[in-house]
Amino acid sequence: MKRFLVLGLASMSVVAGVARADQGRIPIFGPVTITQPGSYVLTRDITVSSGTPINIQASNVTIDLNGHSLTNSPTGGRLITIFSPSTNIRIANGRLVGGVRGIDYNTSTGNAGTSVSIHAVDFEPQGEIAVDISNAISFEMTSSSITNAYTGVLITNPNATTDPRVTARLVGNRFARITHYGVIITGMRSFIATDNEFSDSGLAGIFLVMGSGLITRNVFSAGVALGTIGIDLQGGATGLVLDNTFKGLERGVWAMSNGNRIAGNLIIGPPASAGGSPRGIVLGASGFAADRNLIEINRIDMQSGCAIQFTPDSHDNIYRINTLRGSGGLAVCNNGTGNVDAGGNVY
Amino acid sequence: MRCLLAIVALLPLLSGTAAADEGRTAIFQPGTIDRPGSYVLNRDIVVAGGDAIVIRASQVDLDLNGYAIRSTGGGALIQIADGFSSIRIRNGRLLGNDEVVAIAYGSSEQAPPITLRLEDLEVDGNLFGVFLGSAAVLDITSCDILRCADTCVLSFSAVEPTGRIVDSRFAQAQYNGLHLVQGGMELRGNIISTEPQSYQRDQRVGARIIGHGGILDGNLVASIDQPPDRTAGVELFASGILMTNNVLDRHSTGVIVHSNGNRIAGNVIRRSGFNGVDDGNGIDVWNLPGDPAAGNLIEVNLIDESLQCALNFSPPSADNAFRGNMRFASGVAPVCDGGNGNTDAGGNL
Repeated sequence: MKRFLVLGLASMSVVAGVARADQGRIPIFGPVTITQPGSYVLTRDITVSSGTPINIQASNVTIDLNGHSLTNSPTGGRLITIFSPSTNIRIANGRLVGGVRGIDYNTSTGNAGTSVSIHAVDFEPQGEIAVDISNAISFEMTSSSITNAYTGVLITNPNATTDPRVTARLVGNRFARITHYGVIITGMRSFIATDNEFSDSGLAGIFLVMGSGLITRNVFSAGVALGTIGIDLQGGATGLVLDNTFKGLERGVWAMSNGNRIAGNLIIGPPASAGGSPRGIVLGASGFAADRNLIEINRIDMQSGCAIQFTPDSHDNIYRINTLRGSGGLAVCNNGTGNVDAGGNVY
Repeated sequence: MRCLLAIVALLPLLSGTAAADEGRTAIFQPGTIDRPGSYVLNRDIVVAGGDAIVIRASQVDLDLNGYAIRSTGGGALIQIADGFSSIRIRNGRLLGNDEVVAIAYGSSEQAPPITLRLEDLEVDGNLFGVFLGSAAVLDITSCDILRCADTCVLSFSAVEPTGRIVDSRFAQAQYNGLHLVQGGMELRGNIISTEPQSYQRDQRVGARIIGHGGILDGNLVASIDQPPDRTAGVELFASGILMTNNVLDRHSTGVIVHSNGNRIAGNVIRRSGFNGVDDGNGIDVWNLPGDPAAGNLIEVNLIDESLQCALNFSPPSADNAFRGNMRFASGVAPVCDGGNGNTDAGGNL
């Protein structure tokens, strides 16, 4: 009888640190490597001083952190590592504290893309990157927060022009006190960022390279203005920048790409005492063209600098129906060619 | 002892179910739900064919609990029988092999219309993600429906359902992303992509909307380069649609309007026709028999890089107005007007 009991218990524990839980979810109560698909639930806080508390080496894995925390020392490593080719990973409902990275996709064993979804997870603080998903097929992050990281989210894929699956969505998140970039999205075919809050990002709130973007209803603010950008569009990234608010940044929107519609945004520049050369919206940069963009119905109030700046590398852009009357700054600084005031602007 | 045996025999009310915590009924194998209630999956279920879960009851809440239902054969992963409604399915994965329908309801458009709510589902590799023969209300929230061998969401109905499809992704549809007969649905914040795999001469569409009324706002619709068939971002057979602030990229034609009285405003439509197949219009208004494609208002859109025309009015589209649009880099002309009484209301650039 005892032998059967022992056999039964052994088969329930598929992986070290794991056993069958209520409603069939598999509890995690210690550092673990997940090698089977399934639904896992954290049943207690886990703290390590080195290594990675949760490694994922299977696809179709759901982890409910269940309000608990994974904690690592500041230089200890990752908190959750997803190993290639694992995909369809969902992580929700808890805290990832410390370590150099919160969630990291490790492609060392291959180059297959991955799909990752994060919901209601709080990250603080990570020494490098809170979420690093290289070669993402799809990425979604909702209702989460990242505080005190070097970079908040880094999502990359080299196949954006050939693979329409390659998409990213960030909705309802908060990014605070990020040293470098709040979000870097490079090579994703489609990108939506809605209802997020970015405060005190050192370089930029959103840095989008390639692909089509829909960036709406986000809030960008800066306590230290110099060097900060709200939205930075480069490398063919185009889309719709609509109904966002920017306060105190040195650049609200900097578009170095073509065919964007930048509309309905409220941009309040930094105080004149901050110095620098603040701009509300900048089109182009040396060696980076910005052509055929439409800038309309924005309210831009600058205490110094320019509300809209067209650099020499900007061409054939249109601006209309903007309210550019500032409290000290200039309305339009046009050094480009073919840029047109299409009327209705208030200076 | 005899009483105990009788009680134990009564506990598994359904095949493959048992009472679980919180009063929910656990499901651990394929079977039929034939009573209202709250059900929870407590392990992955894999079937080789046929329907994995059949719902033959109304007022059913099915929590997949992070688990997956997978099929390696045909049939449906979740089949809802005709006449049952008020069904909610959430929080898990429905995984197919390009032959199954993930969630199916309605043997015909005459089936009693269903009220169906889907939340937080990952639906991958099915013939159809959602196939509804008859719907009254359809809500899809925060779902990821991808690699659809045909159409990701196909909803017919004789009653034109209402509902919401929001914050979801419909990716790699080989035919259409969304094909909806509806009567006032809200589509907002979705990512939709089409990816035709073989030449079938048909137009592949991100969102094909049929019926009356509704809102398409803040969606991002994309296709691929060099598709074997023509693609379109949005195709409106429906009248009275408010289509605002969407981004449509890299289709053969960005928007096709067959119907009347729509307002299409504030959208960014780019690279139409630059995917290597014909067409190449940003917004194409053309009638169908009995429907003149009239009275549409097209305003304040940014239409950039159209291979042919930014706006194209085919005969006999009539009495449409366009104003305040910005049209750039059109290969033939900014506006190609072969219709009757279509009006440039000013402010176009």
